Amino acid sequence: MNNSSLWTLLNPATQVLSVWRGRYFLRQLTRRNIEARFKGSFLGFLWLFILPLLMLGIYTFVFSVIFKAKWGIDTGDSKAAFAVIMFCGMSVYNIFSETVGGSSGLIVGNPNYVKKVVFPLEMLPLAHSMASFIFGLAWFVLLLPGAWLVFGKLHFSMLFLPLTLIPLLFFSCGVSFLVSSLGVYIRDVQHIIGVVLQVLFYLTPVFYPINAVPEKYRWLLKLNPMTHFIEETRNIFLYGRMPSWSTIGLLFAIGLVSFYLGFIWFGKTKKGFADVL
Amino acid sequence: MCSDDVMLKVEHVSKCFEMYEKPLHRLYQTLCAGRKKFYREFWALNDISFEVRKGECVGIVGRNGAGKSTLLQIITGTLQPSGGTVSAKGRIAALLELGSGFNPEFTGRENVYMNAAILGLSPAEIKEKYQEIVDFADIGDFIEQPVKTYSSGMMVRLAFAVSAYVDADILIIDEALAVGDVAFQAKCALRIRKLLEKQCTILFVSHDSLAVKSYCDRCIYLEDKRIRRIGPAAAVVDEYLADVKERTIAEQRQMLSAGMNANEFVKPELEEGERRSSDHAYLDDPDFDKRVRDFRSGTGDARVRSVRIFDSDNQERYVFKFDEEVKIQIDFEFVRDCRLGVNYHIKDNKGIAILGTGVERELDGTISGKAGEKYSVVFTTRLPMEWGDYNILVVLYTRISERPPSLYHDWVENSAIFKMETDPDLLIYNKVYIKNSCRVIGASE
Repeated sequence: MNNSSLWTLLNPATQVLSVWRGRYFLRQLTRRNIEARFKGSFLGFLWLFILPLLMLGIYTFVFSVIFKAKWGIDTGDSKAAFAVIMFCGMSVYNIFSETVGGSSGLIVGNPNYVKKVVFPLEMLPLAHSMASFIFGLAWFVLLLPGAWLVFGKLHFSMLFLPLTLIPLLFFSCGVSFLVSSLGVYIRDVQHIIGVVLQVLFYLTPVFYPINAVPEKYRWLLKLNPMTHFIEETRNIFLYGRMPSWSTIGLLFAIGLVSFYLGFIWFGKTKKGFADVL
Repeated sequence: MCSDDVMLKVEHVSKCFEMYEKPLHRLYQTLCAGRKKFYREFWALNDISFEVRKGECVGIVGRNGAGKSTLLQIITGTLQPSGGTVSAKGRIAALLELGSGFNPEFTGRENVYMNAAILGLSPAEIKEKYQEIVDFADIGDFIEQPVKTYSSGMMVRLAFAVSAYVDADILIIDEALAVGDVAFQAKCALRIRKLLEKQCTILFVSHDSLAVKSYCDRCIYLEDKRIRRIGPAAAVVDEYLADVKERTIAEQRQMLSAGMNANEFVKPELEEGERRSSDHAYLDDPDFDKRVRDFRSGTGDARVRSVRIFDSDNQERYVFKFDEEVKIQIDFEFVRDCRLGVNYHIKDNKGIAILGTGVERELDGTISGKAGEKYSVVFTTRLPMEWGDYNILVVLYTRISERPPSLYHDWVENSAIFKMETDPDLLIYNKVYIKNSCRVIGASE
């Protein structure tokens, strides 16, 4: 009933097969996650857009008006440009933080699926990632008209956006596997994760370009995968540059490897879930 | 699997739960598997092996803590065994505990689809069976409401409906069924029979021994994490029940011997002189045992041999007039040395005890005797009861604490039956009538 030989564990095809077999649940859970967000809410899906606009407003006010921060590079002194550039970074980071932030309680909050039935538990973090991703896309829907208004033109390179977002989804998913599994064994994770994401936010060049960071510290930010996701997204979406294929390759590598490792981790640790919950 | 017939094979299954001080230790254990031991062991199952054939219904009985639920969880696949293997053919549908597998936020409909999908049905197959399931569950419009709004009865109805209608090859029913009402139990019984006809294999865990006996061909008696016995259902269940009874009595005996030293509530022995000879010789009635066999229980350390009622002329009778004076004679024999009290209760046809008393209350003492000794206890009393049928419950007991329950040596319902006459001149509208004195006083302004 249960073969976990080393080959089965490490073979990527196993992972693809697992996801394929669980696709019904994936679809149901994702749909359910999305519906649940709007259920009972008066403004419904409008919140998807209101929240990012609010965030944008606050951050622009604080950084651009109060701190009088300037982007400095590429765009001059315009506050609107600052806002849009920042918003682009925020949108990318948001997908990651929404996914990971909500992961810690995923398994813990569904003990029935662990203990009472034989359920493909991987579908839980996967569905959560997918739903968060879809919500996150709303931010890009706002970004598009914003970019057009501020920079005056749309770029052909915008079409390459999926090339950064898809690996982002994989990356977020991989981390989600890790966090949701840890959350079962170490309950503190639920409390810590919020802080970790906040700290990481400031260590990511969202509201400052990476070149603003002194040379000797830049390596720290370069270690942060989000830096690369955001920089490349900004390049192709806002600045109209063609994607740097080596960077895209790096992004895909980060995404697929984290997904692969996260899946393995989850698979190994899920056997103990029933004993803990 | 060697035989085509065998649906489920459990081989040397053991389960050890690892008790960790902190959840973090559990993580360490997963990472350095085998090298160090961070846990304390708790063995829930020890070397369980059995086979179940197609179309069989096998019951599992045992005390709480014997390992029944753990075994079922391992068979279903929600728990991993620590040792041994389980091989099962086909689809396993399990009804484990209330609300198992239901996501409280989802509606009934969504949960039905979800659970059926978990069992391996395709969306098309589920659609086909959906109406059948909903009809059986009979929860009306609530099917579209989130499951968290359901009562326990509704939950179990829906859960059973899903398990019973998805064409599972093996159906596992844990004690959850006990929650449903009588009508539901009847529906379940019908469905289970139908499934057995269709050659579905069923594993049935219950504390309801009657149910186990009626549905199951074989039964497994789990005791203390092992299989104590596997065999035909009736025999195994009876053995289980006998064990339970014996254990209860043993516990009570223990309380008794502990209490013997304390002696606060055990009345003193009656003196020789207080035991007078009765007007009627001791009677060891051979028919008595036969008559009361179905109404009797107790340790058997002492046994009632006959219960008779005599009128004031010492005639044995069965019909009495209102407020007649009678003598109730209870003849009993000691089977083992002990010290006991004798109580009787006169019950009406609804089983309500109307009148009664006992040796302890009337004589403030208990009767002590050795094995083989015989005694008659005679109570002289009146019967101020209205017309109707009455019976007498006799209890031979030893106190083990201040209050009941006591250790019952012989508890005999219906030890004697009698009737109160109707009297057209005397209409009492209550069970019992005793004369009152009464005065009427005119109130002055």
